[in-house]
Amino acid sequence: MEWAFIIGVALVGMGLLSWQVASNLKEGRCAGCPYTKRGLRREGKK
Amino acid sequence: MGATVKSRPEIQTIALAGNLNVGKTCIFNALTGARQYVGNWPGVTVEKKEGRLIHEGRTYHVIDLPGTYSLSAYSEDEVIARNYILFDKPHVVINVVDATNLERNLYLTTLLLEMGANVVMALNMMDEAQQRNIEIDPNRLSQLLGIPVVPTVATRNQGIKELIARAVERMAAPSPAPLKIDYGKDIEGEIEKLQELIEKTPVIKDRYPSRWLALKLLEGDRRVIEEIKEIKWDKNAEKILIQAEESRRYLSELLGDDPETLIVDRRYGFIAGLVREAVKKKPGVEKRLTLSDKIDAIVTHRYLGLPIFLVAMWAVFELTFRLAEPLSEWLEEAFGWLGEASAGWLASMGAPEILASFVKDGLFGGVGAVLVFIPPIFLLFFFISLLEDSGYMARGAYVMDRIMHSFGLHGKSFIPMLLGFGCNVPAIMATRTLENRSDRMITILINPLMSCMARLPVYLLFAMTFFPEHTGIVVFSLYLLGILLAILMGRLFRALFFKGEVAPFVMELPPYRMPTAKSVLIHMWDRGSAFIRKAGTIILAVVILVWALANLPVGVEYASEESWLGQLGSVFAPLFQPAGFGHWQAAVALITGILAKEAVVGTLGAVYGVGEEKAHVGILESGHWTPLSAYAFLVMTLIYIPCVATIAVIRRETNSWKWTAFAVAYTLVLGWITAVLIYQVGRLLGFS
Repeated sequence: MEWAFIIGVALVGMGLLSWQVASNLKEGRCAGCPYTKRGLRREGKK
Repeated sequence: MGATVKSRPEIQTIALAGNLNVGKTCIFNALTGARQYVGNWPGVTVEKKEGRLIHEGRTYHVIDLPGTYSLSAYSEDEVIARNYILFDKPHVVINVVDATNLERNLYLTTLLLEMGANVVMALNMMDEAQQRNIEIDPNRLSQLLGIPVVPTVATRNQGIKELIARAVERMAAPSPAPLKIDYGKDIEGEIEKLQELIEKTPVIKDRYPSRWLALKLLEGDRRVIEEIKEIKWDKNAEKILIQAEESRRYLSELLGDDPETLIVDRRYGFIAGLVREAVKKKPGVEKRLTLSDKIDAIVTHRYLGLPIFLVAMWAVFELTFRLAEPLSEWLEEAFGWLGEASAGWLASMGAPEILASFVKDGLFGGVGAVLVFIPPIFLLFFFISLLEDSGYMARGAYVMDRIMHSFGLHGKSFIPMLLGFGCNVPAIMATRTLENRSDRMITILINPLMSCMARLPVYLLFAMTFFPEHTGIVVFSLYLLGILLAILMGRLFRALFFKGEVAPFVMELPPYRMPTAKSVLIHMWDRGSAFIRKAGTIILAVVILVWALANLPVGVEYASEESWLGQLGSVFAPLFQPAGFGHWQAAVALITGILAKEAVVGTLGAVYGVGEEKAHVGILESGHWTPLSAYAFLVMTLIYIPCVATIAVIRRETNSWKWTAFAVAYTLVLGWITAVLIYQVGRLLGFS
C-alpha cells in the first residue's frame, strides 16, 4: 500500500513538473512572470 | 437609393506610439483599465501590449507599441512599431508626446505623419512642462500639424476623456494625406523620380505610401531595400532600387553629405520651426536650475554618484530584512503549526503514516520553506518600486552606465541588466533595444549573472541562518558580485568573441516624480505575486517529486543517503567537495534549482525540515554547513546554470544552440571556480 502511494505521488510530481516546465518553455517565460505573459507567443503569431 | 449591405461592425484599433518614458504605458492603462508594468525608465515596453477600451458601448482594440525615438531599421523595436503602423494599419495612432521635451518627441510625430498614419497627439506631462515654465499652445501645434492635440497628465488621468473622444472622432473622419515636409529642391527632385517609378508598380504602391518609400530608399533603409529586393518577379522593383542607388550617389556628391543625414537635418529644421511657433519659454528659464537638476548634481556626481547608489541599495536591503525578519519568523511558526496540525488530524482520522509524512515533510516542509520568504520579497519590491517610480533608479543606471562604458559595454545594456533583478526572461527579451548584434549577444550572455527574484529565497535561507546579524550585507554582496562578474565577463566576451567599437549612446534622465501609492503597490504586487504563483506550481511539483524520491526505494529511511534522492545527489556531491558543500543534499538542491531557482529552498526544506525540525534548524544542526561553505553555496547558486525558462529564452533570442550551450557551460564553470576560490581563500584567511 505504502509503495503504491509513493509511486503515485512520484508520478503526480513528474506529471505536474513536466506540464509546468513545458508550459513555461512554450510561453517563453518564468512561471507566473508578470512582464512577459503571452509575450513571445504573441510574437510567434505575428 | 440602393439597398445597403449590413455588415458586422469591425472592431477598430487604436495604437499608442511615442518615445521611451513619456507615459505611454500609463495612458494605455488609463484607456484600458489594465495594470501593465509602468516604470520610470526608458525601455519598459519591449513588446506590443494589447487591451480593450469600451467607449459609449463600442469596443476598441488598443495596442501599446514599444517606445521608440525614430522608425528606422536600426533596432528591432523600431521595426516592430513601424511594420505595425504600416501593414496592420491601426485606425488611429495616439502619439504620446513628452511636453517637457517637445523638440525631440516631435521627430517621431513627423515620421508617423509622413507614413500617413491617422494621428491624435496626447501632449503628456503638461504639469511638469508648466512647472518648468514651458508654455505650449496646443491649438497652434494642432493647426501646424493638422492633427488633434490633447493636453494630458496621464498619471492623474487628466485629459484622457477628451483624448478618447478625439481619437474616436478621428476614426470616423477620412484618412489624412501624409505630411509633406519640404526637403529642398535637390532632394525633392530625386523623391519625385522615385515616386514616379513606385506609382507605376502596383505591387509596391499598394504596400507602401509612395513618398514615404521614396524617402526611405534615399535614406538607404536596409529593411526596406531588402523587402523591395524580394519582389523579384516585377522588373520595376529592380529599376526602383537602381534609381535609388543613383539618387543617393548623386545627392552625396552634390550636397557633400549622405542623404540620410541631409533628410534628418531637414526634418529637424521643420521641427525647430514648429517649436518656435508653438512654444514659449518664460524669460530666465534657461538660467534657473530645476529641483531635478540640483538633485542630479549630487546623485550623478562623477565621484559621489557610485557611493550614493551603493549606500542607497545597501539601505534598501538592510531595511527590508530588518522589517521582514519578525514577519518571516511568524510565518515559519504558522507553517510549522499547520503541518503538525494537519499531520495530527490525518493520524486521528486513521490515515496511513506515509500520508501524514507527505503533508508535513513534503508539502509544508518544502513549499512552506519557500513561502516564509513572502515578507522580505514583497518589502524589497516595495522599496525598489519606490526608487524606480521616483526616478532615482534611472540615476543609478546612469551612474552604472558610466562604469560599464569604461569596460567596453554598451550603455543600453544596463536596462536589461536592471530588469534581470526581477527575472532574467524579460530582461533578455529587452536586449532587443540594442541595435548592434555584438552588444546584444554580450548582454544576453551576461544577463543570467544578475540576481533574479527567484534566487533571493536561497540567499535569505542561508543568510538568516548563518549570518543573522548581517543578512542585509550578505545578500547585498551577492547582488554586487553578480554585477561585477557580469561586467568582467562582458569585457572578456568582447575581447574574445565580439570585437568592435561600442556604439555611442546618450542615456536620458527622467525628472523626479512623487511615486503614487497605487503604482508602487501594483509593482510590488505584480512581482511579489509571481513568487507566490511559482510556489504553488513549479516549486510544488519539484517538492512532490523530491519527497517521493526521498522515500524510494520502499522501506528506506526518508531523505537518507540510501534513498534514490540521496543516491542521485551522491553522484555529483564529490564535485562540490573543494567548494565546501560536497554532500548529496546540496548537489540535489542545485539540480532541482535548474528547473526554478526557488526549488533549491523547496528541496532543502523537504530534505532538512524533517519531523519536528524547521528547515533552517535542520540545516544548522546537520553539521554539513559552515558559514563559509554556506556563502560559497550561495555564490554557486547565483552563478551556475540559468533556470530552464532563461535557457529557453536565450535560445530564442540568440537563435543559436551553440551560444545557448555556451551560456549554460560558462555559468557552470564560472560558478564552480568562484565558489571554490571563495571557500579555499576563505579557509586560508582563517574563516570557517
